[in-house]
Amino acid sequence: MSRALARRYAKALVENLMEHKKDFEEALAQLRKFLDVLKANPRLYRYLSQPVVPRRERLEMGRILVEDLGLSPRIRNFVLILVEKERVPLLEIIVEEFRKLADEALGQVRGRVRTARPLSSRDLEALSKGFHDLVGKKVVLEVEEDPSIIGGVVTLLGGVVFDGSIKGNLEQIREKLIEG
Amino acid sequence: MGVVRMRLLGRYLTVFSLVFLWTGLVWASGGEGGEHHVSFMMEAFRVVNFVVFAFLLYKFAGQPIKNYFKERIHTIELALREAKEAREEAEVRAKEHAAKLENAEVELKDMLYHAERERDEQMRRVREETEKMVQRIREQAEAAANLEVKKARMELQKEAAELAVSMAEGLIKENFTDEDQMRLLSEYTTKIKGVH
Repeated sequence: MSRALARRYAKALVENLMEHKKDFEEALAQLRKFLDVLKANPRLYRYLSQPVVPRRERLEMGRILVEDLGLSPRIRNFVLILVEKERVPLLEIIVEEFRKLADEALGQVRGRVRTARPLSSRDLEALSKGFHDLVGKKVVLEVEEDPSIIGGVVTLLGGVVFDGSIKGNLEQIREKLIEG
Repeated sequence: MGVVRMRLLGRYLTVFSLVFLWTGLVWASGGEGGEHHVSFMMEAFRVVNFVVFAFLLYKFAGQPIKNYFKERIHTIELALREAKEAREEAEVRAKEHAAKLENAEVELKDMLYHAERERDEQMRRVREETEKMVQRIREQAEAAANLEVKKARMELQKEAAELAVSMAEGLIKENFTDEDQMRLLSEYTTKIKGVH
């Protein structure tokens, strides 16, 4: 139920952005920024979420917050609607659904790259191109540094793991050694 | 009722005979002190006396005596017949018992024979089951031993593999450079392109 409701909000935002030809990535980044602030401040999250707090006060606090964060007018209005309608607890699911709907709308897929060492923009572009050639769609890669993989990269794309890490190779060698 | 009458009749006859004999003896002893010459009259009297006695005996006791002896004969015959029948029956029973005894011996032998066969069969079955069980236990023990060996070998392999990988990981971490990362990334991108 909450996911369906969250999807409705996300869909409305996507349609609004498409109508005004706005950047989805930028909108997503701003939504995540707002979500991260709430996650880092549980008291603020509770203040904006709980119906016992008068609507006017919640909206006032929301306005202050979005202005401090420097969100774009559309995202600002969207967030304030969530505060007013007491839908802040759905924000995380809304962001997730928004990302999916935006990717669908743009005909792109999103992947996550774990790398042992920082990737240059050229390396990332080369990787994206490689996956684009593989899946036939634009591929947006989100990078995450993970020293535990020792070296190389691991990409999760569309539920498939492409493991090119030292850790993964060592794991394969270990399994082969155990199997004899 | 008949038995009582017969007993009374027997008593009467006994008393009557004793009286008669006694009177005869008294009569005869009366002449002991005198001359021992036989008197015709005396003899005649004794004969008459006997005849009278016999007549009276026949008149009053003849029929009952006849009946008594007839009944006695009948009773004896009946007893003899019953005894004969009892004897025959006893003989039949004795034969039956003998036959049964004989059959019992045959049956006993038969039972013994079957019991021995059953015992042998049971022993054979128990022996077979025991042998099978022993074989099964032996196989299970061998399988368990093999499994333990296999497990131990796998544990050793695993430990060796863990150790080798751990050492390799340590060496790689120490010696891994940015150039290595670049090379790995390049190979990775090439492999992705090669997946087509």
